[in-house]
Amino acid sequence: MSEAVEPVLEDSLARQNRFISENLRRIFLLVYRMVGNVADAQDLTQEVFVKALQRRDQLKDEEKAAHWLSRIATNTAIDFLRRHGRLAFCELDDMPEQAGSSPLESPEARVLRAEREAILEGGLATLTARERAALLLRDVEGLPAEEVARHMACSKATVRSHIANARVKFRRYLSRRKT
Amino acid sequence: MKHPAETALALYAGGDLGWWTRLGIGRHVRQCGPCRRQVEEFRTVCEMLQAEREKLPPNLEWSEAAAAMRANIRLGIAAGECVAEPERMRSPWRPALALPVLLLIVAGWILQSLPPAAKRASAPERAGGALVLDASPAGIGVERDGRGFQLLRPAAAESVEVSVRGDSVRSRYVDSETGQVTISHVYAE
Repeated sequence: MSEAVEPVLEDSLARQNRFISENLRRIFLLVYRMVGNVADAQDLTQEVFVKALQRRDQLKDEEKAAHWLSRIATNTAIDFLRRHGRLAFCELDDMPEQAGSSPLESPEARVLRAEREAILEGGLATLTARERAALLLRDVEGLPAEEVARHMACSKATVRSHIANARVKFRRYLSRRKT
Repeated sequence: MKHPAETALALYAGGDLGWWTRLGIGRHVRQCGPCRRQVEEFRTVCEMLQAEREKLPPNLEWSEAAAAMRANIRLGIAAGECVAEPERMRSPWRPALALPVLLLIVAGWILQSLPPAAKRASAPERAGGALVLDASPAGIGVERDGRGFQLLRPAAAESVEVSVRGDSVRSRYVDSETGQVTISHVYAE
């Protein structure tokens, strides 16, 4: 009997590992852009996958499962931001030595990369949790507004309002930085 | 010239408007320099966000972070299964527990629906004392074990009749001033 069960378990485990590998980076980046902090993003990403895999019967259709995972990630990040109030970006000066940066990267390129990252984080920090979620799902994930509305469990009109307000705030933030 | 709202330009830049609104704003933007500049700035925001899609945080070693997350996810799932296991083991006992509970409910219902007369008949036996009906010119009443009540004769009553029939006592008074007749009946049960 165990011989009959083992291949099923192995198959299920392999499917689970593949599901994690295929989606981990995407979900981590989505959560990271929302919460703005690596440590919290790692914790929340883990939470998202545990929540999803505990209901693995819903993972039969892999394409739907990926969308469903994004939805769990968005809601988990929004809940986290509501509980914690605001983004927790670290200051550039407080950053540890960049372990992930290539040794071939020139000091100028490194400065430019840090600058770009600071602009992005600063802009996202001006938005509310829902505006940030809507903007990231639309402009970073590239989802259409209807899909963003489904992810955030609200109407398309509300989502468009969040997206518009987010872009306006972000643009104003960029203008302030230039002056 | 009336300019479109800033939020409308923001949606126009990202291609998030319906075709009719997009057509109107597009025509305006082609003719209006300041609005065109705003749209370009909104497009910069969109492109900037799109460019960041695959970029990891600058201070993150992804392979290490991914391995740690994978391990924690497996641990979390295993822990969840450990917690869920006793629930599943308890579940076969639920039907067995349901049967005695059902029997108790049925027994309670049967006791509750016993005829009320049977319960009343046993009450005097449990009380231990006899029920005494009392009739006198002063009034009528009922008493058991030194406890009871009496309906007294009104002070202005002229004519008084008191009669006892089986397990009841009856009084009839006529008021001398108003002529009002008062009849009282006390039953022993």
